[in-house]
Parts: sequence; C-alpha cells; structure tokens
Amino acid sequence: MSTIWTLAEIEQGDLKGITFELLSAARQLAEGLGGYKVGALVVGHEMGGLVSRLAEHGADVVAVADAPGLTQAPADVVTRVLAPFLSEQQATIVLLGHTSAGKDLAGRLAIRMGCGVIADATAVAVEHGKPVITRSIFGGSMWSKATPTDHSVVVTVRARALNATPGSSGRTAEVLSIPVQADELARRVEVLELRQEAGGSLSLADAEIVVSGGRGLGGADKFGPVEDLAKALGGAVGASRAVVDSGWRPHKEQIGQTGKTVSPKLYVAMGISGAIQHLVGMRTSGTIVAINSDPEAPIMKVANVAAVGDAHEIVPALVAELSRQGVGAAG
Amino acid sequence: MRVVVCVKIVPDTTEPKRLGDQHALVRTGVQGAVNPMDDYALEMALKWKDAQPDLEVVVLTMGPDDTRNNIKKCLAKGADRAVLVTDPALAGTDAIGTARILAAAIQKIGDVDAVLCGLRSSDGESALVGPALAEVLDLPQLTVCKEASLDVAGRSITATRDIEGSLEIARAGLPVLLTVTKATFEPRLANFKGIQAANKKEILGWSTADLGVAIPEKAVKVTAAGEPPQRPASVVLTGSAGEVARKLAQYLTEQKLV
Ligand SMILES: Cc1cc2nc3c(=O)[nH]c(=O)nc-3n(C[C@H](O)[C@H](O)[C@H](O)COP(=O)(O)OP(=O)(O)OC[C@H]3O[C@@H](n4cnc5c(N)ncnc54)[C@H](O)[C@@H]3O)c2cc1C
Ligand SMILES: Nc1ncnc2c1ncn2[C@@H]1O[C@H](COP(=O)(O)O)[C@@H](O)[C@H]1O
Repeated sequence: MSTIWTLAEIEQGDLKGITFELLSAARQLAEGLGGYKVGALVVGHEMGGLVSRLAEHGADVVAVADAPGLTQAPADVVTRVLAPFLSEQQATIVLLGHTSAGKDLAGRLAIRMGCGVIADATAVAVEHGKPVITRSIFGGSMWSKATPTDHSVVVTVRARALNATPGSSGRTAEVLSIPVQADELARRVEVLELRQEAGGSLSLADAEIVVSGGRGLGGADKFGPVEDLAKALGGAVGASRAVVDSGWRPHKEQIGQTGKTVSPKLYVAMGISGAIQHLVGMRTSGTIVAINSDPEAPIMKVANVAAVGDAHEIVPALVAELSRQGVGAAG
Repeated sequence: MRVVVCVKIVPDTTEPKRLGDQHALVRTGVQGAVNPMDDYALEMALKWKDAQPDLEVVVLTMGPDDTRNNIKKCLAKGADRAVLVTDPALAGTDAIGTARILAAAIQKIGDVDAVLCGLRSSDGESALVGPALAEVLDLPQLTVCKEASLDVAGRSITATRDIEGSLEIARAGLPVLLTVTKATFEPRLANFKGIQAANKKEILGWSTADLGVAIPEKAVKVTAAGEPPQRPASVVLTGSAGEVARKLAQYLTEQKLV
C-alpha cells in the first residue's frame, strides 16, 4: 500500500496549522484514490512527542528523521535527508505548505526525486481515478487544474485554503525512522541573527483576518483605524504599496504583486483604491470588505461588501459597535 | 568574479491574460516587462558592481526571441552581457523544466560565483524556480533576501531574509543562489549613456541544442483552466458613518466572520 506524504511544519516544538490542512488534503486524496495511507514526515530533534497529535489528525504513518543537526535545518539538508527516503517509499504525492519553509524545500525535493511540482494549490480532488490539483493563477483572476502525468509530484498547498481535519483522540500511527547520514547534515548556510519583528505581531501569512490600509488614510500617523480594527478582530495589519513606498508602513506588511499574497477568511481594505497589482495579492480571500470614500473605486467592485464613506469616521463607530456585541471587547 | 541574474520577461500586469494551447499563457505579441522582483535582483547585483567594477553581471533569460528589447533594458542599466535561451519547443515549460534549462545555461556560462533570482515571477507565481535551480547546481540557497552584501575577499554573501514575521541574517560561502524580494532599495533607471552602451553589448542566443539538453518532459499536465465564478455583486452600504458602521457590524456577525 502506497502512502500520500505530508510534511509536518514545526515552530518552537509545536505543529503549525498548515500541518493539519495538509493532513486533511492527503486524506481526501487517499480516500478518492483508494488503497492509500496518509503519512506525515517529521524532521527535527526530539520531536517524538508530535507523533500522537499527527495520528489524531489523520496520519496513518509518521516517519521521523531525528538528529541534533536537524533542528532548523536549511532546505538543502532537509532535501538530502528526505529525498532518498521518499524515493525508497516510492512516494507518488508529497504535500508541503506553500509557506516559507515549504517553498524553500519543494523545488529542491522535486529535482532530487526527479518528479514534477504543482505550486500553491487551493483545492485537491480525485477525478476519473487521478489526483487533480486546482491552483489560482494570475493573481486569482483565473484557475487551472493540473494532474501529474505518470510521474510523482510535489504539491505545495496554500495556507488556509483547505479545512483542517478535526482531531479524533485515540487514533494511532505506525512510526518509521528515516535514516540520517552524518554527511547529509553538513551546513553551508550560517544563521547569524534572528530578529523577531517588534511587538510579536501576528504574521500575515498565518492570519485568518487581515486589515489593510492605503494612501487614503492620509499619513503614517493616521493608521489608527487599521490598527484598532485589526486589534478588535484579532487580525494582522496589511498595507498597499503606496503607503509602504511613502514610508508609512514597513514592507513586510505590503500586499500585492511585489509584496505578500494572502488569502484570509476576511480581508478588510480601507483607503485602498484596488489597483490590479494590489488585487493580485488578496483577490482569493474568502470575504472582502472595502471601506472607501469613492463608491467607484475599483476595490468596491471586487468587494463582497462596499462601505462608502470616510474610514476615519466609519471604523471607530464599527469598533464601538462590535465591542457592544462583545467582539474584541477585552482588547 | 561573475554573477548571473535570472530575469524572466513577463506579460505586463495590466494587460489581460490569454491562455492558448494546452492552457499555457500566450506570451507572443503580448507587451512584456521585466518581472518586478527580478528587477530588484538585478539592482542588487549592480550595486555590488558599483563597488566592485570588475564584477561581471550576466543576465540570463529563457523565453521567446521577442524578449530582446526588455533584456536590452537590463544591459542599459549596467549588466555586462546577456544570454537568451530560446527554443519554440520550450513554450509552456514548468518550474522544474525551467530550472533544468537555466542550470544548463549557467554551467555553459561557467565560473559563476553567485546566482540571483527573483523570489517569484508575476505570471508563474510558483516561487520554486530558484530553489529548484539551486538543487540542480548543488548550491546552498538564501531565499527571500531584501538586502545582501558581497564579501569578495572572504568569498561569502551575508543577506537579510524576510521570513514570515521575522528577519534572519544569514551568511553562505560562494557559490550560492539568492532569491530576492522587494528590497530596501529601488531599482535604478537606465540613463542615456547606458542606453548607448547597451547597443554594443552582446545578447547571446542559445538553443537547447547549444546547451546539449533535451526539452524537459512535462511531469504535470494542465487539464483545465477558467475564470473563477463571479463573486456575487457587492453589497453597497451607504448613509451616515454610524449607519454604515452598524450595517457592516451586522453583516460581519451574521456571516460569522468575527
Ligand atoms: C510593478 C508594480 C508593482 C506594484 N506592486 C504593488 C503591490 O505589491 N501592492 C500594492 O498595493 N500596489 C502595488 N503597486 C502600486 C499600485 O499600482 C497602486 O499604485 C497602489 O496599490 C495604490 O495604493 P493605494 O490604493 O493605497 O493608493 P491610491 O490609489 O491613492 O488610493 C487611495 C484610495 O483611498 C480612498 N480614500 C481617500 N480618502 C479616504 C478616506 N478618508 N476614507 C476611505 N477611503 C479614502 C480613495 O478614494 C482611493 O480609492 C505596484 C505598481 C507597479 C507598477
Ligand atoms: N523563464 C525564465 N527565465 C529566467 N529566469 C526565470 C524564468 N522563470 C523563472 N525565472 C527565475 O525564477 C524566479 C522565480 O520564478 P517562479 O518560480 O516562476 O515564481 C524568477 O523571479 C526568475 O528570477
């Protein structure tokens, strides 16, 4: 019986949300194709404690590569460790997150395994007995479906595009050990310093809700509505390029063609006109709310809800209203 | 010392995109532009060259022959020469195939100390070509760099990487591959002197036969493509700020979004 493999993403010893989404995608493929098991790959040191949680969330097999040198290992090292194992397992489908770590690894793994790659999947399915992977292309203006020819394939899956499998306690998994050779651990990249961004702000990639502001807000000191609403909703702050270029906000918050691509459950854009280069970074969000004084702004056509008016007046009233209903009341 | 910058010529973002044969993007006859992130990668290399004039910057593109005008813009900004890998059979090549072709070209260029790619292309959007290329060439990688300094004497590059909520400073010895994101600096514009000089610079055209490689097999087949279902027409909320806020709060709670 063959296995559909997923890579567990680990941060500070714990599993990241994408892991569960990958497990649910793998389960869907395994059931559709029939006769497949769901596998999880764990790379790190002393991560055995994660096995039971992976099993509870759907893994039938957990393969663990364990060595002190595998903590925060760079992608070339992880590739050297995983590729021979996956080839020996005759893996046909390997699912990774379309995340920093997943993107670093996917291309390398595909080259070393001699297989194909499908990036940034937003849905998986089985049609006529074949896996079919949907991705959104051209910044969400179109979609395409791809299927592996007779090759194996590495697929990166967009975060939060798929629902995570709920856990069921008591499920267990077979545990395999991935052999690690000392020479595979040689590092060619040295990390000199890691700076967490100030404030421990929620990262855009992980946020279920993103609240973004644009030039219409009027200045670096006028981002209050964005910050207040993000805080009330427990969301992350985003920005248009115009405000990043003006130095009002840091580039890490930029959404769009030359910034980040996000696909949260809820995207709120205020004082943003909706230029195509911005839309490509957020168009696949679940629900889009635009707050803009110009009812004709392009963003208003893309939005599910177009609130017409001055963000500086609407947002404080909105935060107060939500707080009355108990949303974000505790601050 | 030699640096190769991989530059993809992409359709201008503002132009409507068309899919042709086998659901591949139609690239011929479409207004092209240098992929924005590759422009940052080129600028990074040119800044190194400003400080180190004997550094050779080679621009490498795989694409149709009509990309030459855009490649020339890179030469006008200061790149020393360019290689265009072009072959009608390469149309629709995927990320893995692209990495294999670019790797063969880099090996033919020879003695390359650093390879710079954009983090992702605006049309392929995979962000996988860089790491895949690094694996073919067996190079370490520094991805999502917004800044990087080249230490010629120490033969290393130190980069600031922008990774999901944190900044990492990392160093790798040469040769190494970098992927570059929107940087802390802006790409330069070509000046008149640069444009004049570009006319005398070489754009080598290589076919897959020149590289001695086969056309990469497609491991993945695109079976369908289309436009997403139209979003339902926007619900427009108007009135006083208080009214709009109330209606918006109601919508968000009813839809269980908050
Ligand atoms: C190669 C390239 C790459 C690019 N990449 C990106 C990218 O990654 N991300 C990106 O965002 N852009 C990008 N851009 C820039 C893009 O084209 C736009 O210029 C930019 O998105 C505009 O930002 P904005 O919407 O904040 O500002 P504007 O276009 O100036 O819009 C301001 C809006 O605010 C509204 N407004 C004014 N006052 C108020 C008020 N009081 N309350 C509510 N609304 C108000 C106005 O009606 C207007 O719609 C790129 C451009 C190029 C050429
Ligand atoms: N056809 C190409 N020619 C040259 N470089 C390319 C090509 N395709 C991709 N690249 C490089 O790979 C990077 C990532 O592209 P992608 O994986 O398509 O998002 C780009 O920013 C370029 O630097």
